[in-house]
Amino acid sequence: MKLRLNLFFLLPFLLLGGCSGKHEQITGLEMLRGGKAFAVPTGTAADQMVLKYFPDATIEYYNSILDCAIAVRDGKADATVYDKPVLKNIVAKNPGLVVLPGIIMPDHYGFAVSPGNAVLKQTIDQVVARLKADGTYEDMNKRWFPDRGSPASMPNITSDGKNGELRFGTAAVTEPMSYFNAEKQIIGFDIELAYWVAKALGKKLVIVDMDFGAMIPALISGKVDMIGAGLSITAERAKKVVFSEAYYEGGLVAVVAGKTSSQPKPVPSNKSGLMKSVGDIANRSIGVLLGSVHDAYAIKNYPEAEIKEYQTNSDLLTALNSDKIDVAFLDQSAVKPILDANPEIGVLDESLFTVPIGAGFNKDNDGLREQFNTFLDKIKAEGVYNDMLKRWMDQGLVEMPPLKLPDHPMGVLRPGVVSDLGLPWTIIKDGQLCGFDIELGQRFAAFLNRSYEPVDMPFPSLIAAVSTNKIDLITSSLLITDERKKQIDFSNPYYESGVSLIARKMNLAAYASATSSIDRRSFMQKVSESFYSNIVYEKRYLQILSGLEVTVLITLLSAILGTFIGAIVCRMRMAASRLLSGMAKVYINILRGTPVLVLLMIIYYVVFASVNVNPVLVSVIAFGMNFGAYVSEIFRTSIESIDKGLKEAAIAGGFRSFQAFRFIILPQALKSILPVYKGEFISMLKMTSVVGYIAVQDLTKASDIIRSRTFEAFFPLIMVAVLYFLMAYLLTLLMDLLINKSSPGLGKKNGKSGKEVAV
Amino acid sequence: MIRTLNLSKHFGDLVVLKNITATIRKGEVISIIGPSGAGKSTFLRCLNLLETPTGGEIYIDEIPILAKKTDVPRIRQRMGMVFQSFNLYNHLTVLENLTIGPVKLLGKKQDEASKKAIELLRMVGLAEKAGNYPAELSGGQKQRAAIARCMAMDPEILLFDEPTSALDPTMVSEVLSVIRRLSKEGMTMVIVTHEMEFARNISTRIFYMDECGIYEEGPPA
Repeated sequence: MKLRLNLFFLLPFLLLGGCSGKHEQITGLEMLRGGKAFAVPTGTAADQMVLKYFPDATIEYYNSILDCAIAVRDGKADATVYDKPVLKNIVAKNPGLVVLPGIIMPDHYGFAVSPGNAVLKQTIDQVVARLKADGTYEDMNKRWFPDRGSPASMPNITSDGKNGELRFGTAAVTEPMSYFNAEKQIIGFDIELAYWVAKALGKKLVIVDMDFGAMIPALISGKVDMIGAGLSITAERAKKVVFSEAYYEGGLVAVVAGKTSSQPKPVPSNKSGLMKSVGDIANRSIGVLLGSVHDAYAIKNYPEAEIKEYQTNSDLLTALNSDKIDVAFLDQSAVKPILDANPEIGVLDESLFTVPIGAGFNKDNDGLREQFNTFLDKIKAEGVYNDMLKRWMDQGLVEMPPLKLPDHPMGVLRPGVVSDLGLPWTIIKDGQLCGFDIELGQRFAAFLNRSYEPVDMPFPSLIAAVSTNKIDLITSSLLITDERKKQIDFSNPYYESGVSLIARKMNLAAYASATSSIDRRSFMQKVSESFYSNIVYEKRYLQILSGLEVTVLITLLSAILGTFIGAIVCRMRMAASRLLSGMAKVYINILRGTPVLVLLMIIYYVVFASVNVNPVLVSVIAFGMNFGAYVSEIFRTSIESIDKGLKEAAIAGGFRSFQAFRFIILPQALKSILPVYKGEFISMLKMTSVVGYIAVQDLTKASDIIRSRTFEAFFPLIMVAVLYFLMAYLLTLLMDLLINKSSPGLGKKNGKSGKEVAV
Repeated sequence: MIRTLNLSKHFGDLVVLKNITATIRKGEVISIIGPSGAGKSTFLRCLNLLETPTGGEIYIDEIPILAKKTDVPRIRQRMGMVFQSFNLYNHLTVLENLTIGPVKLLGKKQDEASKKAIELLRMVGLAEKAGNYPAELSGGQKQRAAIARCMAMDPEILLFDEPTSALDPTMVSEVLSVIRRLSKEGMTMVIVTHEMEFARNISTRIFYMDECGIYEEGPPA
C-alpha cells in the first residue's frame, strides 16, 4: 500500500521531471532528418506535415502541443513541430527549449467573415493596414510574442458601441492568439485586433468563446459576425467563408531542447548574495503588478533584471514566498497589512518613488469632477481626511466608521470599485465592502445627498465602464498616469502612494542573521507547490468552482427535465393509441441513436440558429431530451415487470386507473427503476463534460483553461476526476435521501424476494 | 342486486358468453360451476367490468353500469373481488393492504381503518400477521388476507374467482371456512369454484355453465 502511495505521488515527477537529454544539440532544420523522434499533438495535421518534410521520422502522439513541448524538453522526443506563435509562446515561458530558425511551411492567419459580408472584410483589412502603418502592429507583436516570459496584457481599446454589436467567435485555447487570462477574460493578439476592428466600426465587441471546430459553422449560421483564433487561411475554408488579408505570417516551425539564446531562468536563491539596498536589485528577478506604474518603472530602470508581472498583490506575495521572484514592487499603503500577515517578508526600500492617486471621471463629466474636488477640499479642511488616513493607513483599522447617510437621497452615486483590491483600499469584510475608497465614496455620496450604490468590477474594466457611463466615477486607488489621462479625467490627487520594495527576509541583508534557510524542498513540498500553482494560484479554484457549479446545474436541471420528458414519453409509449406509442417509439429510437454531442450542436447551431440563446439552456434541453429517452424505457420496462394481477386487484377494489398507478404500481416499480435510473443519471453527469463545445464553461472546460496556463496535466485532471467522482457520489446520496423521504417503505428490508414462509 | 340482460362477450371470433340473462338477489350465495373454458371466470369478471362485455346490459342495484355516465370505480368499491392468485400488494404490510382502500378511497382516518382492519384480521385468523409483508405468508394465509382486504371496504357483494385453485389441498379448508362464515352473515356472494362439495353446502343456487351460457340453474341438491 505504501509503495503504491509513493508511486502515486512520484508519478507527476516521473512524467514532468524526466531525464535530461543526452542528445547532441540540434541547431538547424536539416539536422532533423535521419529518423528523429517527433512529438505531435493528436487530432492535428502536424503528423502529416512532419512525414511530408521528414519522411523517415518516427511520430509520437501527445494530447496537446504543451505535452509535446514538455516531452521534447525532457528528452522523450527530439523535436516537435507546430504553428509558430504557439511554439514561440511556449518556448518563451519554458526554459530549455529553442525554436529552430526557419519555417518548415509558411502559413497565414486571417479573420473570416461570412460570404456576403464584404464590408466587414474590407474594414478588417483597413484596420490591419492602419495598425501596421502607425506602429501599433509592431507594438502588438512585441507585447504578444515576447522572447521571454508571458505575453503582456490587453491594452484598453474602447468603443462607444453606438453602431450596435460586433460578435466575434474565437476558440480561447491558443496562447497568445486567443486565451483566458487569470481574470477569466479572453485576451490575445487576435482579441486585440478584434477590438481594433470593433472600434473602427463604432461597435461593441462581444466575444463568443467556442470550440475551434465550431467557429466556421457558427459564422455561417450567423451566430457570430467574424471569427479568428490563429485561423489559417486555407483554400478549403475559403470555399465556405471569406477571409481577410493575412494579418500574421506564421507557419510551421520546429522546437528542440537546448539552451535558449537569452539567459536561462535564474534560480532565485541566496546564490547572488543578500540584498542590502535598492541598488542590489538590478539583475534580480523582480515582481510587479501587470500594467501598473511599477511595471513601467521597473522595465525602464532595471533593463538587466528579469521582470515578472502578476495580477494581484497576493500573487506577488505568493511568488515571493515560493522564490519565483526575489523582490516585489508594492504600493506603500499595502505594505503594512502584508507585513502583519507574513512574518517572512521584510522591506528593502520604504518609498522608492511616489505616484498620485485620484478618482477617475468620464471626460464629459466635469461637473461631478468639480464637485469631487470641492468635497476633497472640504474634508481636508474639516480634518475628516486626516482622520481617515490615520485610521486606514497608520493604525491599520479595518472598520467602517458609522456614517450618516442621506435620509432623502436625490439620485444615486455609482462608483466603480474592485472588491478584491486589498487593504487599505477596498476589501470585502463579512460580506460588506469596506476600505478607504469605500469610505471616501460614501462620504462623497452623502456630500452630494445621493444614495451610494457601488458597482463591483474587475480592475481592467473600470476605465471602460466610466468611459461608457456605466459608473459615475472610479474610486479604486487609481494611480494618475499620463496614459490613463488620455481616456479619462482625474480629480485632484487624494493620496500620494509611495512605492515600496519587499522581499523575503532570508534574502535581505538586514535580516541575514536571523535566517539560514536551505532550499531543499521535499517531494511533498513540490506536490504542494504543484497543487498550489494549479489550484490556489490566481484563485484558480474559483474557475473550478464556477465550472463545478455549471456542471451541477446542467446535470440537475437536465435530470429534472429528462425525468419529466421520460414520464410523458413512457405514458405515450404505453398508450393504447397506435399513433401516440408510435411517436414515442420514434422519439426514443432517434434520441438513443444520436450522440448527445451531435444533438447539442444541432440544437445550438440549427434549432436556435438565429436566436441568441443561453448555451447552458441549450445544454439542459439537449441532455434533458437524451436523458428522457433513456429513462422512459427504464420506466416502461419496470412498470411492465409489475404483475398485472396487482393492477386488476386495485381496479377491482375501486381504485381509479391513476390511483392504482400512484398507490400500487409506482411504489413497486420504483424499486426496480431506481438502480438503473441512478446509473443513467451518473452517466449523464459525466456526459455533460462535452458542453464546452457550445461555449459553456463547465468543470472540464475549467480544467482545460487552467492546463493551458500552467502547462501541467496532473493536478487539474486528477482534481477534475476526483470532483466528478465526488459529485456523482454526493448526487446519488442526495437522490437516495429524497427517495427515502418520499416513500419510506422502499428501502426497508421486507422479504420481497418472494420467499414463502410456511406456517 | 345483480341483473344481467343478454350479456355477451367475445374475443375476436371466439365467443365466450352468449346472451346470458341472470338475476342474483341480495343475500344469495351463487356458485358457478362447469367445465374449463365454459366462460365462468369471464362472466364473473364482466360483473365488475374487469372485462368489458361486447353486448347486453348489467345492472347493479338497478344501476346500468355499462352506461357512460356511471361512475364504475365507485360501484366497484361496493363489490369486492377475490382472485385465484391472491394479488396482495407486495410493497405493503398485511395491515396496510387492508387499510389503503378505506383510507385512499373512502376517506377514512388511518387509525380508524387500522382498528377495523385488525378486527377483520382477527376474524380470518391473521391478527398476528398484521405487520408482515405478503411474501412472508403461506398461500392460505394470503387468500384469507385477500378476503379480509375486500371486507375492509364494507362491500355489499363479494366475487370469488376460483379462490382455492392455487392452494395446496391442506390449505383449502381454512379459506373455505372463512367464506362459509361470511355466507352465514348474509353477504351476497358469487363464487366460481371447482369444489363441488363446498358448492353444494354453501350455495343457495348453483349456475352450471357450459357452451357460453348458463346451462342450468337451480338449488343445490
